[in-house]
This record gives sequence, structure tokens and C-alpha cells, in this order.
Amino acid sequence: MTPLLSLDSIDCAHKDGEPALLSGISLSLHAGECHCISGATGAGKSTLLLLAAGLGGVLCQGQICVQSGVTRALVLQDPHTQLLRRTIGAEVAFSLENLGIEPSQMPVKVRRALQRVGLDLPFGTQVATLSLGQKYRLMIAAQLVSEPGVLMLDEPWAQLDDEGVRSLTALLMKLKAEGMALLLVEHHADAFAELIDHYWTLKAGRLTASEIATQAEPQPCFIPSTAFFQSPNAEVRLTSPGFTLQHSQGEALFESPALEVNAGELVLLCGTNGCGKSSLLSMLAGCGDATGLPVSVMGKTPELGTFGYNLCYLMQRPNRQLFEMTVEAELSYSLKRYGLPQERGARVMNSLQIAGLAQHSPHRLSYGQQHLIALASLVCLEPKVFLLDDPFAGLDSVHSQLVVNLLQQLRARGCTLIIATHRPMALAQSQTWHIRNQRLEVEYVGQT
Amino acid sequence: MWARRKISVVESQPGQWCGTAIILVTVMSACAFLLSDSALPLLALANLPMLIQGSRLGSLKGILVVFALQLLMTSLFYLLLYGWQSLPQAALVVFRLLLALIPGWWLSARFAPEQLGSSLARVLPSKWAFVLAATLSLLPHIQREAMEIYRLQCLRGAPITKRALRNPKNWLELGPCLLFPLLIELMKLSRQQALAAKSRHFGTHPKPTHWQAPEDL
Repeated sequence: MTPLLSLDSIDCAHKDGEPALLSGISLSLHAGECHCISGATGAGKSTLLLLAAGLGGVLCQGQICVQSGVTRALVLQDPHTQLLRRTIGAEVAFSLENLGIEPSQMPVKVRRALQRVGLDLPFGTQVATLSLGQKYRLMIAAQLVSEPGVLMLDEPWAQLDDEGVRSLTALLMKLKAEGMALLLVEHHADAFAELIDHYWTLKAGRLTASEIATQAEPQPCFIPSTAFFQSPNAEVRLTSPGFTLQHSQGEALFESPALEVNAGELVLLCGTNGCGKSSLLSMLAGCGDATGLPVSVMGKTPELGTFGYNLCYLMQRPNRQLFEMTVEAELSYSLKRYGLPQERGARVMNSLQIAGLAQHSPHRLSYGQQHLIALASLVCLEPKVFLLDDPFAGLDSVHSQLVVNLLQQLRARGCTLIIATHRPMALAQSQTWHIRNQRLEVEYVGQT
Repeated sequence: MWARRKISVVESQPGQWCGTAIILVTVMSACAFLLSDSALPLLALANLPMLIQGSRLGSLKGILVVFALQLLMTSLFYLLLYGWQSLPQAALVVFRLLLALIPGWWLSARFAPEQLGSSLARVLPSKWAFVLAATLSLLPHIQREAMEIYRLQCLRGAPITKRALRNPKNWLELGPCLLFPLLIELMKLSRQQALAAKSRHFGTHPKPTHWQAPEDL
């Protein structure tokens, strides 16, 4: 059977003279097959996917063959940067416009694509009001509308909560049964195990077939620490008698009971996409839309610029936190501004095994690497309160563990960590804050 | 979970006025630079309905922030080069810039990118029309982006918090800490959007068509 897409002996590098990023890559995708590529952060997985989709901006040798009449579709990691229109109807129709389809034929095709992904909403629905999971489905619909033969997805697990992953798996199963070939790039291949036929590992530029991954990607492991927060003299870092957090449009996100967090505590903030985790962290950092709430952080009302380097905030999509021209400059920016020792930057880069990227532009690195750089630039400030929004997104298990080790060191020095995540994790946390049914529920873990 | 947020639906807007609006906006923006000082109040009056409708469709805060920043930077520049007597002249320059900006801001808030693209494609090559429409649609986005970058930079220790800006010494920090990162961010976004458009067959058909929002099926 002729493959829908085949890559034959692909070699490529970002620039002439640079070491090969991909070397001797060969891969064939047949109708109804699902292949999954795993590999370390920065191994070149996304580059390979772009190349397979015909969108690679790298120097390349070898042959890419696409069966006649077959179109390729690619859904990248961050839906926010791929959405081009204001309403879902116009967003999905964009492909049809570019293919020269008559406007009178578009509505039926657009409606069908939206129904296939379970997003059967009016055409005039504003994209901005969709949750992240819905935006991801919209991106898939925007690709399905042109009826591709091959669908490629870049790390969907990191963007979705468990329910989103289940819905996506069901959708992909349906598409696979219809004869579509699927190519996933995913650290957490186990989450899509029922779908995947062939597993590949990308390492040192080479793609090798791997055994069927029956084991889940190991979760990062925190060492339990009670040194600070159970001490009677523990410094209270965050306190509130309770509040209602509202969306910027005035819609209530959730109600919170009284909260108290001490130095050295690790709080895990869990909830599904769109429940208000990021809004809560933004409010605590003093940079959200909600103000005037009865919350005290380090004895002060959260306000922008109040805490200096004592409070750090790693946002979702950390690539948005990078502005400098080299990784080294990125790390030294805040150290310089706050008058802290510059050598901390090099130390943290070594701890995260990213010292080799010091002179690279942070804007040209992979999603996972950008994540590490943004994190490193904050860790080196050694804050007293560290807010992290999904800090393990896009990271392989090795780098996740390195991040955990660094956070563990901060915690041992008394830093309070509040980590937001889509899914519950065992991180030796002292409290878990669950946001469900528009309420924040506090669960105290391991305290006597 | 993906169905919890309050979903907002917009009525499909008639697109036939979009072409006329583009011409009107171009003329009004040009007038902001070409008219004499004495005619500027009349032009400001003509801008008023746009300002009112635009503020209902989007936020007015962004344009006010741009105006305040521009006034600050230009005044500082004029003060350093020509002395304090030149400050009214600086204010006039910024006022003209604001009058040139308001029509484009209104246009981007009032019409969807596909409507702008469709109208522009009648007079421009389709690729140019898309790029121009995408650029106009970025105007409201720039405001959000600038606010986000401002917050991020304050967290990173840039001396541009409200308190820090009370010291005029810090005003010059707005350039490297806010304007340059905004430029970098917009360049990054443009690249990402170009890739997203290319992944959806942009540029493959010599005569692309345009989505016309129908009554919902």
C-alpha cells in the first residue's frame, strides 16, 4: 500500500555549518495509522513535524513524498497564536477561502467540521470566549474542514485537561477509523495509548522505533518537606478570610474559603481548563484584573511592583515572558535590575542543563526550552513566594525532574510555592486547592 | 472541561459598508496630518462618533494609554531639544497622531478581519489584502499585549511601575522596557500567524474567496 506521507533520509540543520538537527530520518504514514514521536525537550520534534507538514523553515536534504490529492494538516502547540479570526465560523472558513471554495458552499462544510469536533456552536460565537480546550478543538476543526489525509498534532496533552484529552482521543479514534493518518508528537504517549500503532523516539537527531509504551511518563518527584511550614514560628506568606474571584467581565469564577499559607509550603492548585487558576495566580501576583480583594501576600495587598524579587510568577505560555536577545541576557536582566549576584544565572542554567544555550536567541528555541529559560530567569531571583502556572507543560520527564529539584531547593530555603496544574499530581504538597463547581476547596495533606 | 465559560455570540455584521468605511478612515487619517491647526477641532468633532461607537465595541483604555505615553515621550523629546516653550507644539503633534489613529482603531473594532480582507481584496492583491487586514485587526490586540508586557516587565524589576514613573529619570525606561519588547512580541506574533496561515493553505489559490457569515444553519 502506498503511504499517504513518507519522509526518506531527511537531514537538516537550522543554519549552514551548524550541527545536524535531524539526521537520516525516514518515516512512512499509511491510511488509518497513528504514529507517535517522543523525545527530550529540544530534540527537534516540532521541527520534524513542521517539515512533515511542508512548513519547515530549515535547510533540508532528502525526500518528502505526499500521495497525490492528499493534504496535510498541522495543529501546533499554542492555539492562541494560530487563531486568526474573531468568530468560529470565520476561523474554520479560512482554509476554504484559501482553497477558493465558493462562499455559498462554505457554511455546510464549516458546520460539518465543527460538528466533527463536538463544537456545534453558532457561527458568530466569539473565539475569545472559548476555553483553551474548545480553542484546541476549533483548531482541529479549522484543519479538518479542508479534509486532510494526514493530521499532525504537537503535544496536545500539555494544553488539555484530562477530560479534554479523553474527548480528543475519542475524536482521533473516529478520524483514524475513517482512514486518516495521524502523527503525534507527545511526551505523554501513554495518554493516547489506545490510539497509537507505532512509537518512535527522536534522540540526537535520529528517529528510532521504540517499544510500545505501556508505562506512563514518570511524574516528577518532590521530596516531602515539613521543615518550615509546621514550625510554630513559620512566617505566614499568604492569608485571606475568603473572597469571590470574578472574571474581568464581572462573571464570578469561584468562591474561596479562608486561606493561610506559610513559608516553605507547597500548594497544588488543581482545576480544569478555564476554571480560574490563572486568574487566581495573577491576582496574587498583583497583576490581574481583580483588585481590592481581602488577600494579603507577605503582609501586603497584592499590587504590581510591591514585592520586587520576593514574588515571582511563571505564567502560562512562558515564551511570552522572554524579551532579550540571548538566553544569558534573559537571565541576567532581573538580576541586574534587582542588584543580585550575576553568577546565580550561570548556576541555575547548569542545574537545568541549559548552559549550552546561553548565547542562543530565546525566541528561536523550542516551546519546552523557552519554558525552561523563563523558569530559570525567575528561579535565580530566589523569591519568597513563587507562583507557577503549569510549570511542567512541554517538558520531558528528565527536565521536569530537574525543575522539581530546583523548586525543592527553593522550598528548603523557605520559599512558598503555589503550582497550578490541570490534573492532580503527587508533589509532596502541604495543601491542595481544588477548584470545582465554582468553589475553591482546600485539602490539607500530610499535616498532623 | 470545555463548556463552562459564558459563550458570547456576535450578530453577523453587514459587510457592504466596509469598503466605504475604509475610504472614510483613510481620508480622515490623512486629514489629521494635512489640515491646518484651526481645522483640527472640526476633525476632532468628526472623530467623536467613532470614539463613542469604538468604546462600546472595545476598550477605550488602550488608546488613552497610547496617547498618554506618546504625549509623555514627545513632550520629553521637545523639552530636551527646544525647551519648555515648545511643549504646546509637542501637544499639537500628539493630538494630530491621536486623530490619525482613532479612525483606524474604530475600523478594526467595527469590522471583522475577513470583512476588511474581502473589501481590500477588491483593490489590492489578495495576499496584501490579508496582511493589511491582519495588521488592522492587530490594533486592539496591541493594547492588550502592551498591558501584559507592562505587567511582566514590572514583575521582572523594570522601573516602570506607577510609583517608579513618578521619577522622570525612569521615563526613558519605557522605551527599552515596554516599546522594544512590544515590537519583539508583535514580530513574534506575526511570524506565528504567518505560519498558522500557511498551514491553512494561505497563498495556494490565485483567487481566494471570502467567508460571508450566513444565518446560522
